[in-house]
Amino acid sequence: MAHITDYLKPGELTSIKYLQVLAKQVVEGFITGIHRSPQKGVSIEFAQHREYVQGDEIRRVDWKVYAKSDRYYVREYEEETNLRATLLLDSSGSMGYGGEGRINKHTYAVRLAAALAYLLLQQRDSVGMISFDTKLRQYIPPRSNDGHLRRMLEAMVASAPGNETSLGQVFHSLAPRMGRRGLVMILSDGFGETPELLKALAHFRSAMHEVIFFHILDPDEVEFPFRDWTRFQSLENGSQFRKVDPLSYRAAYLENFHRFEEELRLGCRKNRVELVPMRTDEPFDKALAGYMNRRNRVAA
Amino acid sequence: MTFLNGILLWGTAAVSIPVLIHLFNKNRYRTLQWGAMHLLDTTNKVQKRRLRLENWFLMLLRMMIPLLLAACLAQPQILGTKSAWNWVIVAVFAGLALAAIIALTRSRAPVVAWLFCIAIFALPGWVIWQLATFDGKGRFQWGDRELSVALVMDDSYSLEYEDASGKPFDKGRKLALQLVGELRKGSDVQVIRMPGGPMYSKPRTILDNVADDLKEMKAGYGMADPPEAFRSVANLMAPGKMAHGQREVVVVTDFQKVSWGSNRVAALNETLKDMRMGQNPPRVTLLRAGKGEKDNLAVMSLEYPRLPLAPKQELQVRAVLQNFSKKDRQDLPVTFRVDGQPTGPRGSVAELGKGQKDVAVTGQGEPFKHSFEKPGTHVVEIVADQDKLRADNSYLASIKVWDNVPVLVVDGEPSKESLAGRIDFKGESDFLRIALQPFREVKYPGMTDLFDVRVVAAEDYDADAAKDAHVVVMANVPRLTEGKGGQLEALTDYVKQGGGVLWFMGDQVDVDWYNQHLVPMGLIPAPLKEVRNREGEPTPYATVDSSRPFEHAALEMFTGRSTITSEIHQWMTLVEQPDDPPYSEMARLSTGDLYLVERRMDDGRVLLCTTTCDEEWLQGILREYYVPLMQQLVVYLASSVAPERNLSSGQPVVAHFPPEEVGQEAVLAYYRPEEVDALTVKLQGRAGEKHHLKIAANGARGTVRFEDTQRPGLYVLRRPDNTVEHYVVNTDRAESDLTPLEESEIEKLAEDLDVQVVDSLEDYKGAENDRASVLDIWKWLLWSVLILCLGELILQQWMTREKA
Repeated sequence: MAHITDYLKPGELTSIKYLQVLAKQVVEGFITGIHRSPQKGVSIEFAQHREYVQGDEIRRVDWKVYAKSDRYYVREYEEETNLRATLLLDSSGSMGYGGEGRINKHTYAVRLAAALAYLLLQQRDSVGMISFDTKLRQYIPPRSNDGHLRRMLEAMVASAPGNETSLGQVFHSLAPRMGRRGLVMILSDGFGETPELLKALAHFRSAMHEVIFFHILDPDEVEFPFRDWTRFQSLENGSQFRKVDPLSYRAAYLENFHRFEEELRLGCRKNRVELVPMRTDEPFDKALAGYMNRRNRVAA
Repeated sequence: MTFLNGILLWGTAAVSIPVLIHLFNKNRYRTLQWGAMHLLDTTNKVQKRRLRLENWFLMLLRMMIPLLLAACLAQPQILGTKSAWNWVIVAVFAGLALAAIIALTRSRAPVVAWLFCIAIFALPGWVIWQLATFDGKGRFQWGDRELSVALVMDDSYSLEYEDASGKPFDKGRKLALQLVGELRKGSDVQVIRMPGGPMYSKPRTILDNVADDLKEMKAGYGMADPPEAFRSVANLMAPGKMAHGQREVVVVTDFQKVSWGSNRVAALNETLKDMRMGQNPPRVTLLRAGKGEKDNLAVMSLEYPRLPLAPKQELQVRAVLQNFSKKDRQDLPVTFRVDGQPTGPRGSVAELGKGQKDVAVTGQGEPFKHSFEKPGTHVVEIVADQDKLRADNSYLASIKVWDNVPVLVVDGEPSKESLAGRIDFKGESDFLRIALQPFREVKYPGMTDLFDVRVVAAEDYDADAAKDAHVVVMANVPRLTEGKGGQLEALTDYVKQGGGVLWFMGDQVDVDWYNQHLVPMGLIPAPLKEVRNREGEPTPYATVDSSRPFEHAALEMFTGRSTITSEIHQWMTLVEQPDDPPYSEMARLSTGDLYLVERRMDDGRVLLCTTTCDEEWLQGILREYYVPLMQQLVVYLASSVAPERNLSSGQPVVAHFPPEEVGQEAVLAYYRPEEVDALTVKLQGRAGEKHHLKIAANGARGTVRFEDTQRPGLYVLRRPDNTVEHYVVNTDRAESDLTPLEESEIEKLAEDLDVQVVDSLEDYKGAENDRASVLDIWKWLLWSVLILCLGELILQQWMTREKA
């Protein structure tokens, strides 16, 4: 049976534990938490005054203001609520790549997902998980109850990279199932048809989801450091391969890579998707911590 | 185009190395499971083209590097000859350049790539263009370009002739120094001494050192041999020996008739023709040093008996003088000097016509005489006229005066009397003993024998008995004892260490034992066969075949003068080896069987006489031949261990030392003939040119060997025990004939050899302007290689760069 410590080292746990995950956007929720709800209602924390319109409850009219200004204003309060987060774990074949002496991208993504899930649940937020390749593999809806983390971790353990990717297609099919607006965290290398992927991200956004794209890459994919003649065999399709002299091919590869990276970056910015490039040689807790702090600042 | 070092063109095969490495690496790939396959696809056509271009370009650079390097090492020279092949090379290169331009255009290469391309191809392009267009002309000035110069210096002693204007050698040296001084830095020079050969192991480029060496150079060598010097030059002009394409051969000489006469021209022409067969032959100039008639009188040779001398034995010396002047000479004083001091009555030659030879004798018409008191080597010298060429005014000889030569005779059939030192003619060795020490045996007053004979019975022979003996005679010895410390081992060691053994046969000899034990060790020259005789035939005996001259040194005196006349009734036949025998035959019998045979074994020698040394197998032993024959054989064996002391120029000085002196130092000093005096023969007074020689182990003894004996004169060797030995080097006195070639003869020589002859440096330089020029391009190729290497490095870095 999987346990959180299978995925998180004690050091990582302590560094993540006290971080406050604050969603950038306030989402609707059932449980009162430290996240603010955009649904104004009865609460203890005053938000603003608003002119009375037909249909507002009479009890919410601020009579003191009426007495001063002879106009009807209602009081609005901020309601504290839960974050409803979904982790989208890419389990396609390309995630199975890991450079020499390093874990593969999928394992890295799983660890990152575990960390996120743990953090969110610590804050009583609800978190769900979807693993996918060309199609949806497993769906665990967001929950915040006890035992949910274990269930998710077990699902993560069960997932293994394989098959081809088609992010765009999968995301399109996922978007309607995500329900109310929430936080979508994608953990993927983003390999596949980039325009399709961007369209799918736009789809999430149109459903009012906040999207964070953890773009996980192996340093080899960023630097292409190979020297000897190599037969690159596809992880997604065993019959596909290319035999190249990496030294002479490096410039062309890097050019392609930068183009891909740029395309993804611009697409994310356009769709207001937070793109977080991550490398599997970076300790992900630190990267994550850095990111969360940044989000905190934005939220504040 | 030609190549100074054409064989290195095989290095161009290295052009295939980059291709092979590429193929090898391509087939030695590793497989990697990879995710980002879509990033490996070059979808962009321009990108694909550029990638391919970069790869081709890199491969081209890598192939050009070994190609140009091999071409550079082969030292190509552009001669200016028009050849269609030159244009083929230009066309290939132009094709490559065009292909590069098209490829750069199509791949929309940036400006920097164009600049890079131009930088890399410009230099090879220029070199190749030169190849096609260089016409081989160009004003040539000594010193305006780097040259390879072979400077042939005539250093024969005839150039030492000193008149009011100085020595021709000094004049020649001055010209040579000027030539070397005006050479451009980077030129290389080899000085070839004539005689003496090349001065350096390889040409020198530090011209100041060459000039210093020329200043130090001395003449006084033996006879000039232009064909030999030109062979050295031809060898020097072979591919890879000299650095530059423009080659000059300058010969500084006095044009002496004996050296440059018509008899030498054919040989010279042959060498020059061979040299000119090459594609880039040097230009040959003969520079005359010293003109005019010169008078000279020379001592041509000494005549003295070559037999070894014992102390107090009289030496008789005659000298042959020759007048090389154009006028007759009268009353020429002649001095006989022993160890540097005038000895005995002065001699003279009453009259010597021009070109005539005569023998110099004392006033009493007798040869010069001297008897030495002490053993050792001595220098005798006949000094004639004191003319302007001092080197040939005297003639030297080194005379070895032997102390007693101990001889051990091992008698296989001794009588009691003979072992007691008396003679009863019953012992095997009695006749031999008389022959070797006749004065002692017949008690002749006042005369001493050279040999000191000791007779032992065969069973008494051992290493100790032979310890001091110079020669061991084995007379009718049946066999030797074997095993460790036995007689066989003692004899083997004795011969290996340089001893001499003389075998005589007889009825006691055990043929099988000899063949089994002595033949494998090389202790007898050839296997024994059987005892033969001629009983029952009309002539029941054999004689020694003297119909042909005896060629062996030990038997020289018997040729034409006397013969070996015994009637030999029995003799031992030997198993002969007609093809490549390990022995050399000295004399045969009238039956065709061998009589005397010699064989060398390590440092020692063995001689075998196929009959007895007493009258057992022969008759007439007391005839006149016997004593000199026995003495000659024993002397020959004894002297073979003592190296030659009267040498001709170039023959090395060799001296042997006892084994305990190995590793120590011997000093050899050289004195010119005119420097020999009472002190220098003892290595005192004038210092001489000293050489310190280390005694090297050579078998069981020490040896020194000194090769540089081109200069005639006296070489005095001081041994570690401070005794001195004298070696004399004499040269062919033909060089003493100072008659130069006539002007017309010089012109004909120049024409025959197709060389130019000049009298001064100005003439030489005046003749320089019209000559063909050669373009050395190896430096440019080397620069090209360096630029290509740099280009390869940059391109590779650029290709693996991270594009922003």
